[in-house]
Amino acid sequence: MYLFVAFSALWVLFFIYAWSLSRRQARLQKELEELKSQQGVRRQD
Amino acid sequence: MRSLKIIAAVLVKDLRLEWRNRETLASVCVFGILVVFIFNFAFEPGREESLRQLPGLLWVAFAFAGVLCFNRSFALERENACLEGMALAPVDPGLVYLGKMLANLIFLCIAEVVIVFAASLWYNFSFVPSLKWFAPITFLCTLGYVAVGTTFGAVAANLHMREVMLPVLQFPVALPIFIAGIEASTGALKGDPPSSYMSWIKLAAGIAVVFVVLSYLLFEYVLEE
Amino acid sequence: MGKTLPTIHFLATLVWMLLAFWMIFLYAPQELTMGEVQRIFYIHAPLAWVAGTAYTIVFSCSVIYLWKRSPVADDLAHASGEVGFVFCSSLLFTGPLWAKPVWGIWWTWDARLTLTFVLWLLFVSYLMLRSYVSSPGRAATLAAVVGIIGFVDVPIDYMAIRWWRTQHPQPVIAGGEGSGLDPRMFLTFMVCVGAFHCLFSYLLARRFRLARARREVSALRRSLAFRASED
Repeated sequence: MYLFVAFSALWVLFFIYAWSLSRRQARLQKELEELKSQQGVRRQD
Repeated sequence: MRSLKIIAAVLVKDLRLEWRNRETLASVCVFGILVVFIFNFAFEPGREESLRQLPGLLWVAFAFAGVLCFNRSFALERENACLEGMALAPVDPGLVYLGKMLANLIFLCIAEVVIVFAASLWYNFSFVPSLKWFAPITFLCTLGYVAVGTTFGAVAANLHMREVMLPVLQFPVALPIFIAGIEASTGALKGDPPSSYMSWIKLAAGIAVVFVVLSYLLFEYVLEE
Repeated sequence: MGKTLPTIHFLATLVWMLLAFWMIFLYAPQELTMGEVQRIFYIHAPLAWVAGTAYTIVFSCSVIYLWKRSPVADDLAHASGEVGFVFCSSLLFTGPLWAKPVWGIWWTWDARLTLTFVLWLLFVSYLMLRSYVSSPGRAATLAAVVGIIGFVDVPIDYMAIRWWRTQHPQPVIAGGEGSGLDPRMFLTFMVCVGAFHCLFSYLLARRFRLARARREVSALRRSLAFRASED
């Protein structure tokens, strides 16, 4: 029983972490795009 | 030697500052005594239990007294931008570290004497018979503790959360020294032959040396802006 | 950077982990005294090795950062600290799950467990320090100092079961007499060590890319603000 808990909990833990990484990456990516477009707009001025 | 003069200069400065208002010493001693006091009520040990609890209790008191000491040591440097002054001074930052470390060592040792005295009073336990080994063990472990404590005190001084971060940073690192101190002290107080706890002493000595050397080398990075 | 390398990395990790799990459950023989629950060993012990690797990376990158001031080293140290924290937490989580059925207790303060808990605290304090320092340059330097001094715990933790008599089992992999594993167990174990290191490297790479992206964003923000102030 302990074995099952250990293995499943481990999977859950790593998935949560990987998912949190994905989310942060996506957020940063969005910000990067926004800033880059701002930079593009300014360059045209 | 010029290096010794620089170390002495920093040391004397701290001692002189302390002598003027004795704030650090007072607060560290009082706090240490309070810890012993609280333990006394929390556990109310009998004679046999005293021996088991005392080393641990003493080191808890030393540990927290040390936190106060290291915090204050760098808190007073923050006024008048003394930290920046020290960083700009054309001296090896490691020497500044050694000076501050020695000052903290003296303060903490004085506090420890007071704490041990209070503990011996309230626990009706005499440290005198075991002093021959107990004193050097405690001094050695205190040295190791002060070595990291001073460094992390300087690190924490940079943060606005310094009172919380100093214990958080230094206790994990200092724990092996505390354990060595407690184990060796237990042996010494029980009257065991020194060979039984010599390995703990060696461990503490090794760790202390590593900490002093590392801190000496790294202190310039802690001071820089 | 492209999407191909990370995808390959992810697939390699997935395959290796699946292989590892197959071996854990279907290839490795059952242990004599402990029964099925012993199989936790194949995750627990590799996690320990990974935690050690993680902190070693923190240590080495800290040294490199102080020496060369390389932002790559700083980002890698931070990433390794964070991913290492996840692995170390998993280690401390799986240990008691093995201990309870086998020893009857969840925890004990012997040398190995204490020092490993200290390692976990080192990860925590490292990450806390990083988040509490406002200027990124200072954060990098101070974290590097802390990362270097904290490394003292790692070799002592590794040697703990050799130097002290501990509740924790004696070494079976690289120990002296009385150690050694059934060859199938040994193979399974090594595959698991590889698999978890692969997983670690994958998460590390992602976290590292995140750190780099954050750096890029800050730089861009700064240059935009600067240009705005010029007008």
